[in-house]
Amino acid sequence: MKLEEAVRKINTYLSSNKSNLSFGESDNLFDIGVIDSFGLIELVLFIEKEFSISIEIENLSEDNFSNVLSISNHIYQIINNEEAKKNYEQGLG
Amino acid sequence: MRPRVFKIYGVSHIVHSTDSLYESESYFNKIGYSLKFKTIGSVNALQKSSFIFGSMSEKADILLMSKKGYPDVEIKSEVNNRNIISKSAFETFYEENYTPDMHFPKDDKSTKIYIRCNNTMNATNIWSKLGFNIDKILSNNYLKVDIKNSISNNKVSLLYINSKEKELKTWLNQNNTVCISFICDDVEKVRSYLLKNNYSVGDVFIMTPFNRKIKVFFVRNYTGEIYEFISP
Repeated sequence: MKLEEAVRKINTYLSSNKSNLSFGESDNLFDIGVIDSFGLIELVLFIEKEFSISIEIENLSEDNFSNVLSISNHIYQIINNEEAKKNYEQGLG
Repeated sequence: MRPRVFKIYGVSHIVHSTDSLYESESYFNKIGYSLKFKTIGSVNALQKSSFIFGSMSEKADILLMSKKGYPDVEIKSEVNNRNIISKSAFETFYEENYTPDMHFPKDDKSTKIYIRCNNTMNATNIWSKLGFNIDKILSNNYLKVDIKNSISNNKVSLLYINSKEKELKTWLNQNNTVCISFICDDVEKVRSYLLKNNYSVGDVFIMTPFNRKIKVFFVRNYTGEIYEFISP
């Protein structure tokens, strides 16, 4: 998966479902009121379903979830790590 | 270990019940909270009735106050908010750097909630079962549970205190802190797990504050206090 795809999906979700506020990809979504703590959990559940990944509670930090870019990067890393692990295991097999 | 069938992300808010919405709002304004939303005349869900002392009011007025780095506070007032003879088991210290006693270091910025109960081990069992760490056994009479909230970078400390009082059952229409609310990914799964472990749980119902769909249920701990779980 490309990073741009994650950015696009997160942007679409936030714009269409959750807020009338405008925001940039680097804007802090909590500070400008696009999401709050409950909204974050809604977003996490959307991400887990949409990208078929699991977000660990320990990784719900502000670093990972403050803006569209950090969220997309986190998704991208999880997916790439999982793919690398799968490839490694296939290589061993 | 926490069963991996559900995730509990932390404390969503603390429920403060009052017979004066205005006075409570002023108090929270003074200590840095601001109003997030206000609902006047919200219909009380029937599923709450077993957690209400006496007859349940048809409607309640609700404010949600927030402060960065701290859990939100829901201030709730209903017609039959009565002064029940027994006190709520909870007492919350909201003010920053306020140290009620020696059990908290002076620079501890957590929201501190004291919970009187007749058996601290029994009371904290719920947190062991749900996978939280009971950090410190301070003495025979105190047990502390720290709940770090990764979603909003706050910490809530629950300090369970052994009390000799006979009646410690908390009701949602007492005055004071009456309930602590937790966000999870699936209330049905948490409810079913607690039910299997013989906790007294209410049915799941749906609330729609500010056009949001929130699933909710209440549970009464073995020792009488009430917790709420919510999920999308």
